[in-house]
Amino acid sequence: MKRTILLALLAFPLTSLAAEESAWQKSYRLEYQQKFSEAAIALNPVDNGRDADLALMRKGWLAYQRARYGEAVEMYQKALEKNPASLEARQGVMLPLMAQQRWREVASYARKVIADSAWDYTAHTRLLVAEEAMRDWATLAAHAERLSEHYPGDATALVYLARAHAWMGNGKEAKDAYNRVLARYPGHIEASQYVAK
Amino acid sequence: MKMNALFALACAGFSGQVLAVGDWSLNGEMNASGGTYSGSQLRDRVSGYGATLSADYLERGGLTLGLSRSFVKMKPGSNDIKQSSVFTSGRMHLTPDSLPGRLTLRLDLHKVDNDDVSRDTDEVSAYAPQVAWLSPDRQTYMDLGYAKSRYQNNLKVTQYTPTFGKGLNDGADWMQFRAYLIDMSNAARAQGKSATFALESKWTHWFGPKGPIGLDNVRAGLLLGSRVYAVDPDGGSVSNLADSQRGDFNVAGEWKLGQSSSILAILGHGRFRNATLSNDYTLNYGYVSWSGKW
Repeated sequence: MKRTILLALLAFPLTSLAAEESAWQKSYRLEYQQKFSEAAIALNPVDNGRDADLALMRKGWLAYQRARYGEAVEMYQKALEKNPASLEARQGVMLPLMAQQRWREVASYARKVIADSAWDYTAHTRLLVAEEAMRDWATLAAHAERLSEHYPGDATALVYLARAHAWMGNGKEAKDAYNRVLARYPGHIEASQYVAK
Repeated sequence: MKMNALFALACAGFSGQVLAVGDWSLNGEMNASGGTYSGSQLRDRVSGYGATLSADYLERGGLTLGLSRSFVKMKPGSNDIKQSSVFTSGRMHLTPDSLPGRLTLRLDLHKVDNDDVSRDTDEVSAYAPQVAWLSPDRQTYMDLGYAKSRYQNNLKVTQYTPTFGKGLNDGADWMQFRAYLIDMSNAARAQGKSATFALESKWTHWFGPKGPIGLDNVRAGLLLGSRVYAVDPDGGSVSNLADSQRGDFNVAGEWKLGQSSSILAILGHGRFRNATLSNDYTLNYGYVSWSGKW
């Protein structure tokens, strides 16, 4: 009897906790357990509420985690319809678009973020990736140069600057940019290999 | 004429989309070609020129419109032929979650008019749908093309073009193979043939930043077998004037002029047969085009 009462008392806080778990908490718990579909379904009660755009963005992220890139794009676009000012939704939709190698669309969304937030680092670096994929070397070089002026301690922009010069056959400029990468990231493999050539 | 209807059809895939002007890219191309026949009892030389304009919306799809004129100078005793061709193509790219890579649905429409007094090659129309797939790493390509051509004087031509392409050497080379399986409804109107088979292979090699003589890429093409009244999906053309084509070899080079334009030059040698006259002959030809993008 005592044992039954003890068990009942121990179970009470757990059941109480479960009853109070919000849709958001449930979704995050399921995501932590890698149950991405269930984590998205858990958000259904809130995807028309005050934070509908957030719920839709989370659904986009969870679809991206499952490699359902088309579905992820659709969710982020729905989030943008709910909140056209959302920079996060524009940042988010670039991930599945990059996975699908839809580079012109990645560039389009990145430019829209940059139009609202001129030196947003994430948007600029994703635009660099798109410009490289589209082999737009002159644009990539000019863009990477400008970005490195705004983020002087950053090696990434300089790597893209070096690659663009290398592809355009500007060996001296490429080597100079890779040396600048090594000044910021001494062990950088790509830069070390190019400089050692 | 039907151009508005064709445009509307090709635009149908974009219905409901909000289209931003900056998300469109435009490509223009102008070309000129010429060739001389050797050993032909009827033909002396051929020349032509044309232009195409393509508009693509992001990676969702696009439209192409092409116009061309060609002239066949015949030997004395036969009438020269002047011809006009209109080519319209619409494409839609899909990236469904159920299939890795990119799927492209495409529809080409051709209309060819000339002053052929027999009307055998005049008022030709063709439609050519195609389903294509490109792997996620963009190193493998497959398509299945179909074309139906209608000619005057009781001839319909059906064509199937299964195609396979593969990237090699980390994308520095591309090989493409396309089979042409062509059925004719009336052998008497098709060099005595009711069916032909040809295999076309194309190789493209891209140079690094410093290609020889400034070349961006070089290409070579080889056609084996025979084909009549072929519809070429890459060239956007209908071979309505040709006799039976029994082989072709061509080489090409492309030069980039800055970031947004290029020049392509092709030299080729083709073999043909006029079965009615039992006349085998060859064509040496050249083609040059300038293309730019905005």
